Amino acid sequence: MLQILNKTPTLICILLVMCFWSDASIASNRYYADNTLKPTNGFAWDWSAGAGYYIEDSYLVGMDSYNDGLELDLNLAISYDRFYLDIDHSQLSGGVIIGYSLIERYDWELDILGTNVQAGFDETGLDFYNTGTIDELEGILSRKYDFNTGLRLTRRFQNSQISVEYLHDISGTHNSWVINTFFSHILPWKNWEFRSGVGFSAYSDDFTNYYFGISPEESKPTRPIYETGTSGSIIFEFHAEYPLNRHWVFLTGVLSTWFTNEISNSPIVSQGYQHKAMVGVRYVF
Amino acid sequence: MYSKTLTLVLCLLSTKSLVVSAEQIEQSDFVAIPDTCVALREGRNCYADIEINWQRPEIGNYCLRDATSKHIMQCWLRQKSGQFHYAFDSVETIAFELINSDSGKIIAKTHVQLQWVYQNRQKKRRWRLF
Repeated sequence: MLQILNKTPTLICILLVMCFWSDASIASNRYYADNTLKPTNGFAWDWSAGAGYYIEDSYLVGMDSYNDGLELDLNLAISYDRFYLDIDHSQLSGGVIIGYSLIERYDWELDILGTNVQAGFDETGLDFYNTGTIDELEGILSRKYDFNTGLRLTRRFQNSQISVEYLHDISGTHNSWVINTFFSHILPWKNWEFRSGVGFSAYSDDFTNYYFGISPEESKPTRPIYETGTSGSIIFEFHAEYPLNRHWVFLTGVLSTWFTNEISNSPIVSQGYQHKAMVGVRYVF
Repeated sequence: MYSKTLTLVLCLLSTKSLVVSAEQIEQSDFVAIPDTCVALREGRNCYADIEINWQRPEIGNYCLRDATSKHIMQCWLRQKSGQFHYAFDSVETIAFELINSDSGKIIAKTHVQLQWVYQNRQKKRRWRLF
């Protein structure tokens, strides 16, 4: 046990590095809240680390339609009054979000926030662990991670909430807007917690063309120039979480994302959907 | 690297077993098994199937009761041991008392402690899996 404790800083360093090198696809700020619980006042924080086994059917061309593996994750959540910071690398994707509640009145809330929406990728694909070039993606320019700021309006219910976000990239990556809407619901049953959600996102034409367009310099006979307009996606997800003991939790979940034709017709996209599933454990410090 | 991670996870899991050891049972004559209920979030009810066992050196009339409400849960006549299955459903730790039903004297106490994993109850958690 002492040996494990001695190695903890090394493990944390590895997890922190991996946290910022996520293999996310399109992500939304999918918030859940159990509004029946009394919120913690003042400063509050927790962090956790874990590992999970995942399988996914990715939408990028050249990526294995049955991709699986083991991934580590790190999560840090800090809140102080109206300020909150969430670093979340959870099994398959994640990122960082920083926010501040401008208005909290009745069951409505208006937040200002900054977050990553789309993970970058290059000719090695979305898989962080893959360092080799994928033939079908060979020669494409690197797509960078974006960072967006904007406003989120939320209406809270008992175990549910619905939110609408308007975000704009400030990193210079695509320099355009993204709109996210998401409805989430938490269902506690015994010691289990079941979370389900559905969301719709709209992406500007600049966003869509930056990530899924094909420029003249990227084109080749098997990869024609591609330019399109505003796009969208619909997300369905389901999670289950169960406490194994004071520090360990069991997690499982599935996520399905369906893209509009503007994305699915891209020469670097193989299909109009993406499915992911995972099981894992997490240690909460 | 994956195998090392898996080993680490299994090692840490094994240090926190939910099962109460046999040694602990032998040390006491009034025990609740398991003696801890873990909820996912602070403020939520915790659920567990608890087995409460007691044994005394002499035959007598005994009752099991909630230490706070003094609600009698079960009594035994002319017995020296007993067992009670209790469906734990509480937002806080519950203590139990074994009393002599003739004298009303408290003979032993035990409790089922409530713990939770996430103590930060902030509402704006992203609780995101993907």
